[in-house]
Amino acid sequence: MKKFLAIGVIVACVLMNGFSQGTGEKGEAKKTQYPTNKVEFIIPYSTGGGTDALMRLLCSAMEQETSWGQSIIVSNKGGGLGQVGLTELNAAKPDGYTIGVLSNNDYTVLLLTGKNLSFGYDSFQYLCSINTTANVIMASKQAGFKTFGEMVSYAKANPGKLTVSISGKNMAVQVALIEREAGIKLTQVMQTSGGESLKTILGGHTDLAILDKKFVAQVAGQGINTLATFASQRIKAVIPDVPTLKECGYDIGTNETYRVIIAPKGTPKEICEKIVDTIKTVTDKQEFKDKMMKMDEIYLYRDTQLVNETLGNEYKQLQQLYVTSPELFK
Amino acid sequence: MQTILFNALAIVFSPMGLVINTFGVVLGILFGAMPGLNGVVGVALLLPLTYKLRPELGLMMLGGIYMGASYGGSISAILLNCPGTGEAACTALNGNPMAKQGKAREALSYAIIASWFGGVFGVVAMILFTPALSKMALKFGPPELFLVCIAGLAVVGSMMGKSIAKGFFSIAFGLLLSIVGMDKISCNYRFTFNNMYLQSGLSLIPISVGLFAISEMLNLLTQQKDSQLITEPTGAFHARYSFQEVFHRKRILLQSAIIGTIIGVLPGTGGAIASFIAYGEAKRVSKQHELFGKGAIDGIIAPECANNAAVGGSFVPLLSLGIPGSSTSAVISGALAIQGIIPGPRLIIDHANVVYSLMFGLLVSTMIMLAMGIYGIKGFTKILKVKTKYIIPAVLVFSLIGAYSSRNSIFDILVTIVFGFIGLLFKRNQIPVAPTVLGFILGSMTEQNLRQSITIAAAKGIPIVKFIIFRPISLVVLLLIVLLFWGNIKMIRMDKGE
Repeated sequence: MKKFLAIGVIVACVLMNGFSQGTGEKGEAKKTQYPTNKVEFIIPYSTGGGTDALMRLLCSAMEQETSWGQSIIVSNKGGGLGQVGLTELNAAKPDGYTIGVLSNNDYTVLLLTGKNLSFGYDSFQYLCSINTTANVIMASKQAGFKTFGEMVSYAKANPGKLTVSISGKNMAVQVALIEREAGIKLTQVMQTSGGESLKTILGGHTDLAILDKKFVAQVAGQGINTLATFASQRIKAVIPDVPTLKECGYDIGTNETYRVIIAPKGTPKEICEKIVDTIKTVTDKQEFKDKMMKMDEIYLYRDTQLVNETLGNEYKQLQQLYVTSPELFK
Repeated sequence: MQTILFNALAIVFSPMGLVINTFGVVLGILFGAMPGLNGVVGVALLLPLTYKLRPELGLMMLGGIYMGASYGGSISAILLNCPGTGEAACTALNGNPMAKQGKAREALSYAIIASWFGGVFGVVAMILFTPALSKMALKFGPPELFLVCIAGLAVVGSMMGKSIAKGFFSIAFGLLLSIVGMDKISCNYRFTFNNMYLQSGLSLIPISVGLFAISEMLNLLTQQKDSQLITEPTGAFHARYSFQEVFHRKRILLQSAIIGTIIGVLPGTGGAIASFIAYGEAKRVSKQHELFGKGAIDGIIAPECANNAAVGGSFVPLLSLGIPGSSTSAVISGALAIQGIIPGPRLIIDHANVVYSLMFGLLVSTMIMLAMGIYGIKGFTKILKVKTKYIIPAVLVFSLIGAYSSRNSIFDILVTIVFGFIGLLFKRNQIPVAPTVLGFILGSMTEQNLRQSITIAAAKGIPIVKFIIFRPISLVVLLLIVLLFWGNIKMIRMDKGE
């Protein structure tokens, strides 16, 4: 009997996670009456990553908000730089009961280089974003570079000798931009995740690594130097001493990373507003900001208009780059 | 320090702590035992529950699930020949034949005792040697990991069955499957046939569930006999004798525990690879290697011991460096992040209570698991009395739910069914399926590490063979590979001589 009960619990868990995807009462919902049912939130990455952690925090905060009052079912649909999850979100009914998230750099690179995309830039409504972060470039203990300049002069004298760990295609573009700007040649070593890159640089298997700024705290006191950040301004909250690439004399444009909450095109305006308002309310609370800080995330709220401008500009710039120098995307 | 230790122990042994730990272990065993559900899925599903708990308790529950699931797979592997996960694939090779001889209870008891020993070994190693082990993990760069993968692939020799050609065919099929999807080095698509789902690659659960569980059920279906699954256990059974039997095999136990812990520590690997390598190594040194595949006790003990030892091992790089050692600990790392706890070197300084309660919690988990496993034997074997007409639909349903829930993907259900039929085809032609799973698990890792090695060697201007081989750790791994190959050749010769 006990066993059956337990099996029942498991089945319920699985069902809750999977099959009960917010089939809200369609059309009938009155303007102000959203949400009246549970909402599915698609995270196009597998469980355990940075986007996943932040969005789960956001979703659980929204659930607790009385004006929202419905549960949000997080479903992770990872794969192909987010393509799998975004394809599903694009196909979902635009009734507000299926929403999701994307990570700006993965998304813009995916739009340009992805194969058989069923969606384009205009397929989604970009609602808002709540965080900002940026990549940094680190040098291993064995390489011993203290500044970005030191690294560049070594690389100039030894083209192709320096190895750099990267994870993801967008980082390959960033490295290619640095190479072009500084007139150097590095050897890219692709890793499957940030953790893998961290491991190779800690073990001295590669000389450099491009990683999210949150890894800086993880390498503290282990002889790793952080040479520069890709952010437009110094990240004062976490790594005030790390110069930006621009300060080092190499301007490759800003390269910030943030997650945008999105809905499929055609989602009614009132519903989008309700989502944005709720996110604004819950993230504005000090408790939420504290939690984000503990996760090493920097709070930066962008409303619908701002996020559309920022993302749109980034996409346009990358598109131009893709046309003028397609070799950077190889 | 002492107060922290005391506080951690107080949490672990508090009524709430024990209840949550037991809950985790029981759920873990169930998740492991259901084909298709495993530790990763279990931890991911219960993740939201931990938001409301204190970090110490939440982590303890997830640790319990992980520990329990690493053992649970052996139950369905032994009784139904349906290992839902790669971790238990080797256990089925000997556990199920043993059950078919009417010794299901013995097989189950060997599995739980070995799992317990491995679990304790891995956790104790984690408690005592985390700094040293994490230093060791960092020494494993792409060249060393490439050789570890080759050692893993060499294990195929010990699961060939009668025909070498069929064994090689099976592993080659697995390697081929691992190529499908986005190439992780160049980000180009391979063998994807313009299908979006293939572009993100095949995943392990649908393949292993299809090949093992679904194909086994299809096989039963076509037998047209509504009978019991296998022989009901006969004779008297005393757990005491099983303990003696297991602990009599000190060498196998110890070497499997060490292999499991070390493989667990290496980021990107996990319990499945650990159990495969331990299995191969056990067959090489076992005194009864001719029994392997027919119900060898060593063949149950080695993989079960290793995959539970990998649990403790996989927490080492997570706690000390912030790098998860396996896919399950990657999800647990996410759980910590949501609580605002960032794994890494500062974890033990900033959140010592969390670290210690996880460590002691895991030890308690192993004890709960042992008790559940031993007292559960009687209950588990009852499944053998259930008629196949009830078993088959139940296993099929759970398998498909499990296949769906690993990536929330309908496509994966299709993949599972297709692989069910492929597995049936393999069985009908006496082609072993375990090498396919082995090849699939190791294929992409082998390729990535080789290609990374080639890139780095070229940048440094060192010839690739020299770059891979002339490194201290490489030489040790190379020795293991030579021993495995030599053992395989010797066994093949002996089989021929018979």
